[in-house]
Amino acid sequence: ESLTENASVIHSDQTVLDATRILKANGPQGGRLQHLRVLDTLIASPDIVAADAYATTLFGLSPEQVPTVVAAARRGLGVMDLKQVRMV
Amino acid sequence: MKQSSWTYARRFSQSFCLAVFLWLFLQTEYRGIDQLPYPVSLLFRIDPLAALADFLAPGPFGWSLLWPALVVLLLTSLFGRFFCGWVCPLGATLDGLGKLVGRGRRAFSPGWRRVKYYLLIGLGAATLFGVQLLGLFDPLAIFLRSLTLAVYPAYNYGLNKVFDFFYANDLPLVSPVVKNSYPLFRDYLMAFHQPIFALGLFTFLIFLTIVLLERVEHRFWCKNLCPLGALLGLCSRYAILQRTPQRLCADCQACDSLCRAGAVRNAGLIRSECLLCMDCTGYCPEERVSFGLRHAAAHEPGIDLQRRGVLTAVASGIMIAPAVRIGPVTYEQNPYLIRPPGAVAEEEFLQRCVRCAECMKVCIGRTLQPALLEAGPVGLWTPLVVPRIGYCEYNCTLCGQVCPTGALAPLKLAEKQKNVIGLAVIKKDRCLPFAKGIECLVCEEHCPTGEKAIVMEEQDVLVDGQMRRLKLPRVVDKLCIGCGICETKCPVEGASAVRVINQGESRRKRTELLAGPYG
Repeated sequence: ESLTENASVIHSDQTVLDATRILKANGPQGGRLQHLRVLDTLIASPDIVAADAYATTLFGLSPEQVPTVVAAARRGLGVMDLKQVRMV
Repeated sequence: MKQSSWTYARRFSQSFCLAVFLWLFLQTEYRGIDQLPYPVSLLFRIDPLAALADFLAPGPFGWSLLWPALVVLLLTSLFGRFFCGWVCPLGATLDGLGKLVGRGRRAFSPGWRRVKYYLLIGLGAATLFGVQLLGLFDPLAIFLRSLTLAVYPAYNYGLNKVFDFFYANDLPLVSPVVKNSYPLFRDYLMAFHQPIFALGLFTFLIFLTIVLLERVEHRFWCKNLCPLGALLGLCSRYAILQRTPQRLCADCQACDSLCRAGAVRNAGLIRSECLLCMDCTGYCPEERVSFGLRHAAAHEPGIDLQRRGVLTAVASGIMIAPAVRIGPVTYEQNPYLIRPPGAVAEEEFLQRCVRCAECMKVCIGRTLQPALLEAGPVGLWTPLVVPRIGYCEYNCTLCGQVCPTGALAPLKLAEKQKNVIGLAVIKKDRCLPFAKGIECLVCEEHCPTGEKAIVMEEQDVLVDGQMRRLKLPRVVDKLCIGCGICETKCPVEGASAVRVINQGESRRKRTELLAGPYG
């Protein structure tokens, strides 16, 4: 909820999300190389919620499973339904 | 006073050695390379007292680390106390600061000369019986300790204030110069972050006392108190580097008042006291004095140690051991007594550690702090892991690399990451999820072990009359190595809600319990 409050005060025009390497367990400190996935992916979107929503799929989750994304969408900060997002 | 080229050579040697040791001191820091490239603890590898501590400690002598100390002893037996006059950084500091603090010319009672021998004999006897306190009086340890714990932190603090001032107040001409010199200081001459140490003032006062003793007598410390000087003096009894004339000349007697060591007497030169400063080759009005290689004369004056004094020193030294032994076991009395990774078992650790403070200087997590009484009455200045001040960095092995006496074994990174120095314990009366029902997972996030040693477990908890689902931290004992980052980072103000105790240390022999008299 606090994170979404931040996002509602500080508006962003463009969100860039670096998913070159992602750590899937034991983060943020002390991760092991075996938990590292190299995806070489960059996400860029004018919609901060859509960017986050897509990022959840990289972890094998759906946007609904991540409370911050749900809360942000409820507050109208962006779109979390990936079907409504145009991928380029 | 006229000075000979010998005097200039000596001063150059002193300045050069001091500069080398200061440079090595500055290199005793993480500068981007995991393995330190220089022998930064050289000062203690040439230290015969450190070698003595290592020799009398259990286990084989650390030849590979301490062979230079034996070279110093060998050279001393040939040439005399050249180390005191030409190499010792504390001696150089005293010579350098003497003019500043004022120099006493009082002829002090020669009886005081014996004190350093008694100190050496007493400390040696205590070491032989298992209580090693050489480091408390080792001049090199005093020098580096004062530098690490007091002088360097103060120097960093002052410099930062200066840079801050000229950054905040733009003074023409001065500010640009100061600003442009900042990168040089930051990269080579200052610490990465401000060093913080307990006992800084205490350590400095001792250093200050030794410096101020110059007001009583030139090189008061070296002549009367220094146990290293005593050891080198004993070795130099039969040195072949000889001064001519040996005794005071009947017509002049200048050496009687001018010799800084008071080594030239009517009966001859007291070899064990001569610091080889070579000043007499300059100030002799007749230019009679010279040094050359010759065999020692049969009857040379020495310092009469007096049997009673020697026996008293030996007896007091021996008495220290049982006096310490009848105390409680320190790590049981103080569960927060945590030693750096690679530390050998506590008893051997105290026998090996010369309190040189190299490990505290190099520690990048700022966790290593000097002990006052935390490690028992004889643990003064030994390194403690104090996690509320700083933590032991998971990917760092520096303290083991710098230890000159093997009190801390040099560990490879993989070994260090398995070396248990303690165990984190969560205090449920302080921890936010337990005590207040507030969500917090800071300790879990910081835990650096590959598989987290702190895990969060969801549980229904009654908070303010309502059931709430909360994540509660739990320490996985077999994964925790006691690095203490959780205690450092715990956001609870004051006492941390997670504290590291010394349970399950790798260095403690657990088989004792099983194989002991009751097993």
